[in-house]
Amino acid sequence: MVPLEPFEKVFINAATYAEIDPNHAAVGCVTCHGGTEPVVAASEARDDLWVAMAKAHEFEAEYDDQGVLIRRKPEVKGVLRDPSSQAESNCNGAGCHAQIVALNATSMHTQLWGEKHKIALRAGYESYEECPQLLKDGYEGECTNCHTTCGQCHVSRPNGVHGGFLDSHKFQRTPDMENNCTACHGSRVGNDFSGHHEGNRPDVHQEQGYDCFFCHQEDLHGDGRTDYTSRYAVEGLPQCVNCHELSASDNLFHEYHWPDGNSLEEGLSCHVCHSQPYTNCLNCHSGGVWSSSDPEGYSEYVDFRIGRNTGEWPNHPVAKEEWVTVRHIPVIKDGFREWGWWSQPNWSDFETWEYASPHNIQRFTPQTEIALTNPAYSMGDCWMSCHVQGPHEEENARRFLWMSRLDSLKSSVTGLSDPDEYIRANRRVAVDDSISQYWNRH
Amino acid sequence: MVHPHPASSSWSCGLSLVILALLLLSCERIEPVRQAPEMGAESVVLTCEGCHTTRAYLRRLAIDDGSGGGGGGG
Repeated sequence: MVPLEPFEKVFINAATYAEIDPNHAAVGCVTCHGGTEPVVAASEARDDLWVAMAKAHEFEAEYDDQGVLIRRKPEVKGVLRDPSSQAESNCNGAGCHAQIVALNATSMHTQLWGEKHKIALRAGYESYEECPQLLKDGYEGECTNCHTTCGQCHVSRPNGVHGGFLDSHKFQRTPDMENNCTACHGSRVGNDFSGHHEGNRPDVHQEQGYDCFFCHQEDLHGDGRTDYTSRYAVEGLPQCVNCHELSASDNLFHEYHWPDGNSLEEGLSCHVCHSQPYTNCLNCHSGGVWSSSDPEGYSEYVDFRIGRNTGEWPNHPVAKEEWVTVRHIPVIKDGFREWGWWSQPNWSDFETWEYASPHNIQRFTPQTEIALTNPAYSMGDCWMSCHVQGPHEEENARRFLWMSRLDSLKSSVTGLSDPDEYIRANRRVAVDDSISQYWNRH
Repeated sequence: MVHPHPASSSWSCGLSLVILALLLLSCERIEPVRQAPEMGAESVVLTCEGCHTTRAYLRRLAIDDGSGGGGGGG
């Protein structure tokens, strides 16, 4: 996204802050941001406003060899740019937001439990806490820099997109979808939801004017649990049936593939039929290499692949989905080399094609096209847009993740001493050994 | 009763004069408010908003480039 102009990032667009946000203005700038009240600073600095400013921002005014004041702002000042980076003292200073601050300290947005869990397991440790400090320092210094503070959702854009006020330092009760949510969740969710990929339509919910919070009604400040090992394990995630009064008896597709474990054939996630092609990623590296033009570096591409559900969330509704959309995630064996961390001995024990929930839902997609072109579809032709047989066999086969696809990709994945490690990591997701004979004449 | 040594008294007086002179000299080298262009010449800023508003920023820009602001449009 295009960064804001510098003046848009910093200045409030009113004569006084009280005009913008009387509640927080009553708390006062210094209470949250630190520094010295300007009146006090000015009185201590006598008649030089530069010295007053230095005192207000709590940095020492500098003088040259001749004793002349140097009018230059230092890089480090005593005030906090983002007071919510210390939320426990600044957002809960007078008990104002005690409950939310306490919850948020353990939220997925703050802690990224799933990512930490996988980093530890791939590196050969039971938990993130056991990981060596070198690995933790690298991760926390780079990967978590936009995950996130109160202010980066409720006052400004996140640091990851260079910040800047949402609306002149007015606290927003509900974050803005474009300036906050998809500022971080942009390359996958944002692009998918807005239909940015060639040939795709926007998500039907976006076309209807809904934003993230229409579906995501779980508390994004967390629920206090600290044992999550995946974001898909979080309680209260949106489910299609929360709004859509759908059932396994609606139509032939649902009857045969409803994802509750009781369908006539195997259960599919809703995304398998109702998603369009979506963003996949390759070769993410630390140290900023992911954002460089390194030809062997990070890349994104659009694909759609149906694979086996290897998620381990026993109590979660998606656990009964046997066939799901899977996304290539950019986890590379030497991905942390820029931090000086080379070892991920268990890398090939964990998939790099993972459960995906593409945010580009449509009722009619290439997989359900038969229902659009022939509303009187029957058992005789309902399978034609998806099963790997019949007149569209080759086209339909490209929607599944086969071992042959893994073979063709393994040479594109960097950092592997043995390319077959990539096969070992993902063989459980591939469909070759488990696809029904009724689906597959491939 | 202890009397100060005459030499000590004059030394103390001299030192005070030197300090006073140094203070005066250093004060002269700090530009007074009216000559501090980046802070806004006409006002004494006693609030955060005195600097951190768009209006204050534009005012400082106008002072910095010497154009007096305005212009443009259309």
